[in-house]
Amino acid sequence: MDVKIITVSREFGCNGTEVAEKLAKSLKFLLVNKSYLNEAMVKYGLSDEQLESLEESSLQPFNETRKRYIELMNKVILDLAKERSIVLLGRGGQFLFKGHPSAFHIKLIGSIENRVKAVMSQYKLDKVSALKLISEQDRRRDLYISKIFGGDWHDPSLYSLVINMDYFNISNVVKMIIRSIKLAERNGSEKIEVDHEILRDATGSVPHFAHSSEEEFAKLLDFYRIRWLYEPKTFILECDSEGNITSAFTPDFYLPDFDLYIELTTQRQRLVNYKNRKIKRLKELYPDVNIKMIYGKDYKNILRKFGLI
Amino acid sequence: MKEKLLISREDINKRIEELGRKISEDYLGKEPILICILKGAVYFAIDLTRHLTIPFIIDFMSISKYSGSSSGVVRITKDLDVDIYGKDVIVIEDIVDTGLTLGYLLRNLKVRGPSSLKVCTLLDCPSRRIVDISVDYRGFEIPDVFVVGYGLDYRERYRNLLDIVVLEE
Repeated sequence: MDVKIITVSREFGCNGTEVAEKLAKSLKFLLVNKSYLNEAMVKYGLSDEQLESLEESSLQPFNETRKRYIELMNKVILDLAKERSIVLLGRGGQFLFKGHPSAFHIKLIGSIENRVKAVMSQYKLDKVSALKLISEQDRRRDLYISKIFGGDWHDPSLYSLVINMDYFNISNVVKMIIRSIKLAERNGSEKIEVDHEILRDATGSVPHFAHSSEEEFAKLLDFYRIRWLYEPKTFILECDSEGNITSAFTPDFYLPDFDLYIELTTQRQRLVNYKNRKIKRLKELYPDVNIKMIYGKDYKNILRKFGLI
Repeated sequence: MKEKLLISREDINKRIEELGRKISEDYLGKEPILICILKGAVYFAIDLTRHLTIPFIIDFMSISKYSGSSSGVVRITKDLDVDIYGKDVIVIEDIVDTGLTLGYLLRNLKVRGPSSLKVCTLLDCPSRRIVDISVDYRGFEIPDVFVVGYGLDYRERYRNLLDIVVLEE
């Protein structure tokens, strides 16, 4: 991989601004932060109030107008990244460039104690006011990301690197990021190959598949960047009078982004009937659980569509 | 492999004409961007445009296909030439089955900020659906059978058939 876009996401009070500035300077990348974007947006004739609405921490409601300005800003950022190498501070960069082949996503975190100390010193606040400011800023960032991108920015799988600022100073963090980017660039192509030989679920664990069709299905989900978990939950279907479990069912996959369980049944019809009965019972006992059965014929047609059989 | 007729060329043409009329009514006074997903939807997209009575812009997009073990992750192999920001967009597909390809495409297109984003597919096979996708314009709903013809292929063959046929072993 050739890194041309570095996104820096940060919890409030983690010196994200300083890290992004130093990183851009060291790599000679363009720093895209609030002031740069405000200047770029002025070209579109936006007023101060409209510019303020672009802020992640803005108090303005997420009405259609504000959303439109933010979408325009996102387009400006995407266009910019086509022409220049950039360090993007905040603005949901981890979502804007999610899966981009040249993007490297960083998140800076820290303990609440250290963040309070940093905010107290930077904004000359007492402890209570600093804590209040942090929780307010965190809440607004959560809201911004969820309203604009419909995602959760705390999800660690969004990032190439998550750094706990409690353990390093700014200068070392910048060095660490640059070193990590170089390693990713050098090993990028090799790494992808290795990753696909060893399948990992959404939590990074390596599952032991019971059947080769399940492994093939996991590869298919990986290809389309759909997060999955293998057999994460067993549903109890029946207990005897002493409370011992006499019947249970463990669906093959769970897709957290769709809140959906999937059961693959590529076996003989007799087993399919048995599974159908279990799923029917599961639906009766757990009506809120979303489960989909993929039958052997469906699966065969899916594989045939991709020219695999 | 045996070929068995599923949808005749007459039925296909009649239905495409109806879809063209419906889209023209729904987008009256607008100029939608039609995004044809290569390669399967080419035949359908071109015939559909012949029945549109509104102005439109057509563009093409292609994404890499899953090919087994060492295929990495899905990528856009041919991106749009036009900017869809603030525009009305209709994605034209040949078939929506698992929803995996279209799900990825819609996620990608949504980020670009179109003012509306709809899906028009010639064939819909809901019984094979993995990812839920809402289809706005549907030519035909088909059962879980393997179909080719009218743009749909099996290892690049059969695309030029005028009818849609089921391929049976």
